[in-house]
Amino acid sequence: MLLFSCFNKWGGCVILFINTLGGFDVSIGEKTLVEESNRSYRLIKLLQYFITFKNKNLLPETIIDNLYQDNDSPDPKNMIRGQIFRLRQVIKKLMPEGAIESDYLNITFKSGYYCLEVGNKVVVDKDEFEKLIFDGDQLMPTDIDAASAAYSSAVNMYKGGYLGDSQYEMWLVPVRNYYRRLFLKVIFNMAELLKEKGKHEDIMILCEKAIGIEPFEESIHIYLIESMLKLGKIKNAMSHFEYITEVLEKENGARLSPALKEIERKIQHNYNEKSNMDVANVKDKLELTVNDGPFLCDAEYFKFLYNLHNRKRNPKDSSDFISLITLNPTKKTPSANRELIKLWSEDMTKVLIKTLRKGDVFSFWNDTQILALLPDVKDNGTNSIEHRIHANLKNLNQNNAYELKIRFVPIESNFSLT
Amino acid sequence: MEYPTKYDFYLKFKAITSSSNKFLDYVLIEVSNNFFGAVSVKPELIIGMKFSNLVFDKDNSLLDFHELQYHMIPNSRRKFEKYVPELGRWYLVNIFGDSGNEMILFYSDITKLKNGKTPNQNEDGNKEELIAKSV
Repeated sequence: MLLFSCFNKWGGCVILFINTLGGFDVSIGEKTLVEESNRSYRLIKLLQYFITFKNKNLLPETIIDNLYQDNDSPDPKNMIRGQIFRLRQVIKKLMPEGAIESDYLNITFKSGYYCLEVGNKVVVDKDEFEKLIFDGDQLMPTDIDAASAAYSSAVNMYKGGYLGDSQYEMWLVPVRNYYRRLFLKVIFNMAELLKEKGKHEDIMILCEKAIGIEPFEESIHIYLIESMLKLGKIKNAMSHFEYITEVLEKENGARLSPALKEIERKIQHNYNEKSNMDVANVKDKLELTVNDGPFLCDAEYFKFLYNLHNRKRNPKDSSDFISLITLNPTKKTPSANRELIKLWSEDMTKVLIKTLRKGDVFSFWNDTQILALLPDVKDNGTNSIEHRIHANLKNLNQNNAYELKIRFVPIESNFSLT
Repeated sequence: MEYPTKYDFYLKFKAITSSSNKFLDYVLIEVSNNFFGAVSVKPELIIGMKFSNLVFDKDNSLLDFHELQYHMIPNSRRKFEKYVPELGRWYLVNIFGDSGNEMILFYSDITKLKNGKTPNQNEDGNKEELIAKSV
């Protein structure tokens, strides 16, 4: 590894190595802070805090706020002073004999601020990680291989969340988010680079490694399934898709996202392509269900159908409409009432299936709004549709009078849904 | 002494928490009316974004959240002086987190107080200086 080759000797000097990605340790030569397990938890936490904010001026009050909020000491500033004194001793013990403090770690107190000054004989892995990604970004437009090598080294350095994932501290959250985002960014950049080169095996290896660290990041699973499909491993792709949809639903309570729906379509498409098809069974494969009413679909597919319809329609034709149905338009947050929304969704599905025609399409755009595509509505037909929706809804649910706003907008060729 | 407030603006965030009520991130929910006029960033491009994503948003990176991100935690109150080179203005940035789940970043234009000075290029390249903390 890049760092190991330089951390024992660097120009004849012993290097202090600080590991923060996936865990925490400070090591120099054979000595490590973890081995000296009698170190107090508080001191380690204080050192972690200083390393996170290295070379920055820190007010004692800020340190108290972030680290010792639950402490009921009558003089917290004095307590901090004592802790920092002990931390200096620990650092001193770790240094080689006769070492100059300013070359390694030096906690100073100037003008009311504490500051951990990090000298030139210290290597912090998070800095190396950031530098490699920065180098990769710079090299990307000119030298893809060198960029890829830099990214690859960065990926190897990231062993998990900042200071390990087991420890939860409020002040750690933004820092941890930042390095996590950096890691994901480098994974996506690498996957794109490998995709361009058609190295799908390598994408699989990369994604499997990344999933070990970030198991719930949907985009990594999508890259993995896509590369499986490219390699013709359709059964693997199907079983991984089933696995990940189940896991995400269990963990996040989330249904299929638009991106996962898209990948499901790709799997289905690949599966159909591989199986033999002749003219006799083409019809069976294309016609999935018999449906005499309007077509209900998700928002993503609605966009697709709308844009397709818009492309093929005659621009002069003014009889095609989009309808927007909104629940409780005057109230600000109907979304808070989950039961009302559930009931409304069920009732509206029944009503629209009964009211709209076979060629119409509708979709739940969000919790409280429905979009409908109504082609070929002639002779003031929108009034009649609105009247029928209200009447059918009233017949269905006499007890619950929903407040609805129904708007009709003629489709214009320059308007597309994105 | 009264100072101009034309370029003062704020951003309001709401905390995202886990099912066990652990803080996870912030999401930007509101900006002041004059936001576009003050910084030329369209609010609709950033409202709804998570703070951790805003840090990486190169297209709208004018406010340099990278430096502020470590202080964006519930209950924290901090003040920073910050020079925004693209706007040629000094700001006093107030991070104000309440005990609930909201956080406000208030940018006060203090260019006039600074008499138009720009930061010294030799100051380790660090244009941000912690000046005080309000508790």
